[in-house]
Amino acid sequence: MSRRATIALIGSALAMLAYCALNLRLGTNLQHFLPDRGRSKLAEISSRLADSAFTRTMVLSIGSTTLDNSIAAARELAEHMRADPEVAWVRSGVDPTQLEQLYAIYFPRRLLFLSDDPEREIPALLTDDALRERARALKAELASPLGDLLAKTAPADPLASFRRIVERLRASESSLALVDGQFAIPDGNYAILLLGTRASAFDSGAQMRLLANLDAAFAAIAARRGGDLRLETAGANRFAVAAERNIKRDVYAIGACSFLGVATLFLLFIGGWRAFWIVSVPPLAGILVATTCGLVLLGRLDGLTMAFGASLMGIAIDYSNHVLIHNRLSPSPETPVATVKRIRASLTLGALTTIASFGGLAVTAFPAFREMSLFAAIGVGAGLLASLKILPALIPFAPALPARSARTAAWLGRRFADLERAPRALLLAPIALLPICAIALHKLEWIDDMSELTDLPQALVDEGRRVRERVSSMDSSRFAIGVAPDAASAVALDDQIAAQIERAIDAGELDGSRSLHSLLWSEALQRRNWELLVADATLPGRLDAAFVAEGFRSGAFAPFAAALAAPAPAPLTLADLEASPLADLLGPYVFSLGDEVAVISYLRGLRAPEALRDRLEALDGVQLLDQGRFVDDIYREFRVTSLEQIGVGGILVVLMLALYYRRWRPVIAAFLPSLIVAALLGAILALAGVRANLIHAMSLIMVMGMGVDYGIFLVDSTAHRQTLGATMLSLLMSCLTTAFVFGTLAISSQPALRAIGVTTGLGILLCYLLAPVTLAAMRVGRPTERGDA
Amino acid sequence: MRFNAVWSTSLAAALLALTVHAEPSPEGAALSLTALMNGMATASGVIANFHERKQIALLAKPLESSGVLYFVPPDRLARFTLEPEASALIIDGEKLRFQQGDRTQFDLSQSPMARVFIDNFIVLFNGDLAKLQQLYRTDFSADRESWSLRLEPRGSELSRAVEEIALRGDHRGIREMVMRSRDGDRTSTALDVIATDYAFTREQLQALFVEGTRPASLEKQ
Repeated sequence: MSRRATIALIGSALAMLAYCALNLRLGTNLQHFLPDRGRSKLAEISSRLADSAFTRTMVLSIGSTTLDNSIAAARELAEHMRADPEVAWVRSGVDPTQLEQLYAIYFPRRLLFLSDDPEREIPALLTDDALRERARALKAELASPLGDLLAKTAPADPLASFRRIVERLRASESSLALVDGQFAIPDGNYAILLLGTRASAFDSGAQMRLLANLDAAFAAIAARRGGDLRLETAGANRFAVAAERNIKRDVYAIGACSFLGVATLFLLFIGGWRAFWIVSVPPLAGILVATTCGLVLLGRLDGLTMAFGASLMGIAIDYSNHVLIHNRLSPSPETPVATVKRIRASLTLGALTTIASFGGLAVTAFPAFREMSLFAAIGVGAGLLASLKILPALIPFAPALPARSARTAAWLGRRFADLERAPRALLLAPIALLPICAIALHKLEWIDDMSELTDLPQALVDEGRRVRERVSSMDSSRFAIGVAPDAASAVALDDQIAAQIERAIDAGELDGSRSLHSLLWSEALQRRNWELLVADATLPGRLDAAFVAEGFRSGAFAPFAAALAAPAPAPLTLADLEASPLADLLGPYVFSLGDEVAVISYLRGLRAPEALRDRLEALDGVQLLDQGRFVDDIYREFRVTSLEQIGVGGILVVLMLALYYRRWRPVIAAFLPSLIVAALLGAILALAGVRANLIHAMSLIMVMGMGVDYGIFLVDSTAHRQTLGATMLSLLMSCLTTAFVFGTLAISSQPALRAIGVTTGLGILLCYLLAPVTLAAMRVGRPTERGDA
Repeated sequence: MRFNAVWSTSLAAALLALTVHAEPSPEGAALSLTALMNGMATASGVIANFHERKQIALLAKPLESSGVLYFVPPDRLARFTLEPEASALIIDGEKLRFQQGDRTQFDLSQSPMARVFIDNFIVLFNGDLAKLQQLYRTDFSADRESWSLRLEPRGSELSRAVEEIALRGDHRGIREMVMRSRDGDRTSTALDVIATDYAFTREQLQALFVEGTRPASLEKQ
């Protein structure tokens, strides 16, 4: 490589590094893993809910031997946590200023919010008998110690419209009791705090800091106050942190095993760390180029996508290993450039088939899959180019291979050549297994419940359930959702949803709900209230007469009559509330979805989901979202797509092999082992009773890509029999490296990591063990050559 | 109209509707405000029936209600309205709550206005004359048979709603309290003291101030 080219390469690498360092922002966007075609709206809602005020809220339950001690400890804890920078808010009771804010916003519009079923309810409220009944009730209320409060508002609001608004809001709030202004559950001596986090529940760094502070603060309070204080919590962040902590613990242990294994392997067969760094240049170049291109083309890269894509770079290290071993074990000394020239076709075909095997992902509806496909294609391509163009210049700096490498290569070459002597048996034995595999595969159970991919401590799960049952009965995974083109239509749709839910409650299909409807009605509904009130010109006179008959002064309700005679108040709009101090209350119920607006109703005690679904789906743009089922559906689709992609990728690989070899024998020889590996792997999982999931399917794609590479390298070795030993050593290195890096994940306690480990580790070992099938396929039906070994 | 201000009148009426006894004055001498405050400071458990008459601009006739109150010095009061509808107002130190029958409970402890009223209530009965005069302009007069104390709130929160509180009493303690609101409403509460040195049992205090109920042992009083 010329000096100028070297400088240009180093300059480009540094420029790319700088660009990535400045622009790389890793994050995981759940929406990215949901389809963006067909069901995107529901997917977007689901992903918004997954990172909404709902998941950012923690419930803290403080118990003690006495309620007073629980409440005092809760107050101290609330005070401490309010100062935590990760905490957005802490609610320990009802905000005393909220009633004033409600009054300022709603009292002037009280007559617009009299009834959400005005045509039925308002005429009934305005009969002479109903007015007298109302007068009697008001008189009794005035006699109470809080009566003076009503005495000030009653002249303008004899129908108690404002009190109805307050009662609707109160009914939609938590069922927690208030003791001394503190949320509490007297039965059990629990004080309750609600805590909102600034960061997403899945931002484990921020959540770890917050939880550590919470635990330390509570421990200090409990030590100081005594009284057997205990803290129980519920929150998505607790689960996210526990999952990450478990995964990290596993990854550290597994990483140590992998490192020891890979280090031993390189010391044994490559001769040291200098050689390791040299063969690492192509995969590192692949990651750098893929990251840069990903950032330029997509603007950002998803953390999970990049992690998966980077793991594919393990394939690229096989190319450089292959070049190094073939160069150093060449039958006659040759330059690295000559070695590359000799095996260039195999490497190129291997890389292209790997890219093709991921090609099917590029046409799926999942943005994350498309991103992975792009990342893998660019990364594997760049890794190949680096192996062909840069590696030859570096190989002279690598030490000579240890003598055992040559001996091992020669031994492997002889053993595999021995196996070739019975090609029919070698070929037919695994093929004969295929029908058995087919039967076993039939029994393979697929599971799409994503909750089974993480193994959370049962104690934490039970604690969360206990706390939630204690404080809230709203279902955390099922919602009624309406989507409309603008805010006004969304509020109108919310009216209709509320009406349907009310009917469902009357029919016993559910116990209750919480929604925007307790805060806001559509402008049309507000106007209907007003119009029904002012339509009855006799109302002020009849009301006066009814109240006078019950002991009120004539004319006492002149402010009410004046309000009816005045122009209608401006209806309350979503924008009004958003600009008011009550804006925080809207958060859980309404959010924008691009150009549209979604409204959410939370449900309680849903007993007949299908009946409610029918009611809701009768409305345009409204659905009952069962988030758990929805996510499982998405992942089922994900998994089916992955399996289909194995088929599509397989066809592309076969076409590519056919184009290159232009003969059926090498095509079958290169492809057959990976096909058998896929079947065997599935059968083994089925027979072992493993419930397969999306992760198994994704890992299988990677294994098959590597299996085809093995096949190509072996097919091409048959043209140069004296290099078979070098090829087998190179594949052994690849196989063992993969087994150490990925296979060790099989010992993880986390189901997701275990799935990767089992599939990749077992799969890659099978790929190596079935390598003779390629040789047999190339040999069967041909006369035996002498001196092959 | 400020919400807290309208709330205040009801609370003030309740908070101040209580009874104390004044220390006996020297034979034939008129009672002084200092002596009255000292008497308040040394009062023990008080039980009194009350009869309240509310004159509200809305109503052609005054509203009348009656019940019983229990005062445990220095800062605990339970006021049970028995007629025409049952309700209870409980002050226990810094805590204040209202309950209507078995249905509704309002915890007002966190309300800034409730804090104002509790502070004003405590100062009346802890014997701190200086503090009383800091919170109210006082006008005390007495003769050998009776005394009267006129209180005009100084604090802006209270004075926005309450124009004047007038207390009248004799050697046995307060006999009547009249509160006039800024808007002309007037509440007068007549007190008929049953006991001024009642020793409440632990169970009675638990029932009154924790459960918000009248124990059977007190219903006979």
